[in-house]
Amino acid sequence: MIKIVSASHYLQPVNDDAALTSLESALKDLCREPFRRIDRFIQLALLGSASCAAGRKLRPNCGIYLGSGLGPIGNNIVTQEQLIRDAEIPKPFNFINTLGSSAGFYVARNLGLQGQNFFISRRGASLQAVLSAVMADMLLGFVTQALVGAVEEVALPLGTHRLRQHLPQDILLAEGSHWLLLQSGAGDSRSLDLQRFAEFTALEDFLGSAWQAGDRLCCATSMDNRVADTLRQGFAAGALPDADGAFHDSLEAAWLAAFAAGSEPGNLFLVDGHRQRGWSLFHLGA
Amino acid sequence: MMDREQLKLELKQMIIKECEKDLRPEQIPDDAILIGSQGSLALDSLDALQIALAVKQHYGKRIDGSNQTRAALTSVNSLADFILSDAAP
Amino acid sequence: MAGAYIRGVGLSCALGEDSESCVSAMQRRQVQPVRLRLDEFDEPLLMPYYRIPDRSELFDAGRFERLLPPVARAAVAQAGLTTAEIRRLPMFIGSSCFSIGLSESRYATALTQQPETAIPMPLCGYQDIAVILQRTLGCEGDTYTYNTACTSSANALLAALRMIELGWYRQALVVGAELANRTTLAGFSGLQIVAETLQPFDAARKGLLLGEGIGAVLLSAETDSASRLRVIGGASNCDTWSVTTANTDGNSVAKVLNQVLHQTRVQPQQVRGIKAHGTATPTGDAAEARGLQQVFASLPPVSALKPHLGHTLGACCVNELILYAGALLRGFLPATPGFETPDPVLGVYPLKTMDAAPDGHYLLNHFGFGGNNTVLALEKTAP
Repeated sequence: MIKIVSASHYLQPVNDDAALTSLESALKDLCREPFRRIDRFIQLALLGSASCAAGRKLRPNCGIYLGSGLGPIGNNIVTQEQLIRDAEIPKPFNFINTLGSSAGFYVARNLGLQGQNFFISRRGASLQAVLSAVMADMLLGFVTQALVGAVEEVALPLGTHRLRQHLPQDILLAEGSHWLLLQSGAGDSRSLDLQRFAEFTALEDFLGSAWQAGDRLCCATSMDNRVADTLRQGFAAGALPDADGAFHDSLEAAWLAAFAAGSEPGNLFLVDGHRQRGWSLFHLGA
Repeated sequence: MMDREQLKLELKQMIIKECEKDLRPEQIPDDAILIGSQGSLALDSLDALQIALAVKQHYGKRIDGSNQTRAALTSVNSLADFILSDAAP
Repeated sequence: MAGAYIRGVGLSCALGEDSESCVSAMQRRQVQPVRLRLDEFDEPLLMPYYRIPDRSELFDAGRFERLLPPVARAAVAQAGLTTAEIRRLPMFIGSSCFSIGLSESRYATALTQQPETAIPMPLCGYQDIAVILQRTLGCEGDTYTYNTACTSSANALLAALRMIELGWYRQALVVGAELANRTTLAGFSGLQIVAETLQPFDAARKGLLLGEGIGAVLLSAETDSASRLRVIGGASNCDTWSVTTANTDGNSVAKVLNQVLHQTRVQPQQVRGIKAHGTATPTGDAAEARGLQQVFASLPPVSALKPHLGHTLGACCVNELILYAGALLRGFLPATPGFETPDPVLGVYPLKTMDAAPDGHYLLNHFGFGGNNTVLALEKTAP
């Protein structure tokens, strides 16, 4: 049995092209040492992971699974401007922070962890990728405790950030850092499990048998709309956890972390999949 | 000719900015050891690279792995000497 | 653990543009890096570089799309998958460059043509390698893209192995990709760890040389009569001593080696050879050597492959696995050309000349920025 023993949910819509919300004071309270040489993506990762682990002593081999669609986009922009526009050698701090593993390094350092530490991306579905990876490791017993999160950063100006992601110019953008602390074993906290189905009908049958009044269904943003509508008609249920209508590349993480961090009754099911690759059903227990 | 005192102040400001240290320039003595655990600034080899690149970009002087140039990073004094020296950049 | 069989490979690196010629070129030690010169900076950036010997310009924008698919196709073709298997084939990609080179070119072009509307990082995210390979191979399965610096493709392979062992997938394509880009070349030059020659574990080692390479491995739960190589396990951990290197006391390296041995139930004395990470940086090799010393009372033969193809960063695991596996199948352990003068402090003496490769167990080491250590175990069986 895999349990969600803690969750944290940071979602901040960004309306202002002048500046992003400063995270410094929040980090001062959450981090055990003041970190230098970190970029905004690392700050967001530290903020979410430290909130999720707050007040707990984690096992030194607790794994870290960080997902992101865009990664440290702000730092990557600065580095590319130095290199191409200014024709300068990138500054070492900037260059090192272009690597996906840097954020996980600081999260591990802040929480005193020495276990597995992965950065995994799948555009529009990074949470599903990291959740699949962590579930595999926990089911096989390689990991008994893990912090799994998705982090998305906004790089100003907003118009350019939308353009870069091929998004409509009227969409509301958000930054997010959403984390779950998972643990193998029993307990009265919410459970998490993953079912995989080759056939859509098998998924429907399973959902039909597991479904209870008041449960919630989320269809992944990357899913085919018609298939998602079919499911939504079959399992009309409570509203989705609210992301304030704002968008980032790992919205599923916002839904799951908001639900897991809250105390509302019922189950939450997240469906993702495709006719060719099969279907995944992530189930957060009541 | 660059004014040595002015240069040392600039170098301190540069070190603080590049290494994101929460310090004021007057808190860095001219002879304080910059890099390594025995130094009061707690800077490491990665900071050294960051400073070396900034020195190259601002003053055109290369600090690389060779012993003579690496010694330039000992203190603000030695860094100023190095920049003011006639050695080819 | 059942492990996963290596059923197909594809490789393109400085040694050649298909896996068999690469192994032959390694055997003959015939590849030297080219001299690279970038003139856009205030003084030219010069370094030796191991490039893929295609005829195009190094930073040609079409190279990415041209060089990736044939490598993946070779691995898939060798495994003889059916169309249906190819369609649902999942991909595990490990890369530290993703599409950054393409992004640089587009930004540079935009700056020349319309500077006021030029957008830095016009391509963002990590998906481009997966998108290109899915489109050209006709795959529609799940994709996982790992970006953990120099362990990227090792971690991608580890995930593929585990999901195969769980029965989630029957086959998986693991791809490592590193192609020349300015960010990497200039970034490493700023770190001052690029040397003139690559000499792993040598007393005179001064640093690494960069290279490019694309490798693909088709892993399968099922064997066929031809598969003699099986990935039998692996482990990964994180060392937060420094963002650029594992602790030179070797403790975290020893820990991950012991985890793999424990997990695969292999005793240290049963290990027939080690493919070292061997970047030839003073601290990197020190951490690896001390870790190895802690685990092995007597070291099995060590091969460091980077003198043959350069450090291909996030792709190095898959690229070097293919070379090492290719050598094992031909019955030899690769030599380490840059190693001349033993460093008594390290006590690791890579093979100067090739040695015989018996059946049995082999370990492959990978360490990366961000404190990431990943070790994989391979078994070669009799035909």
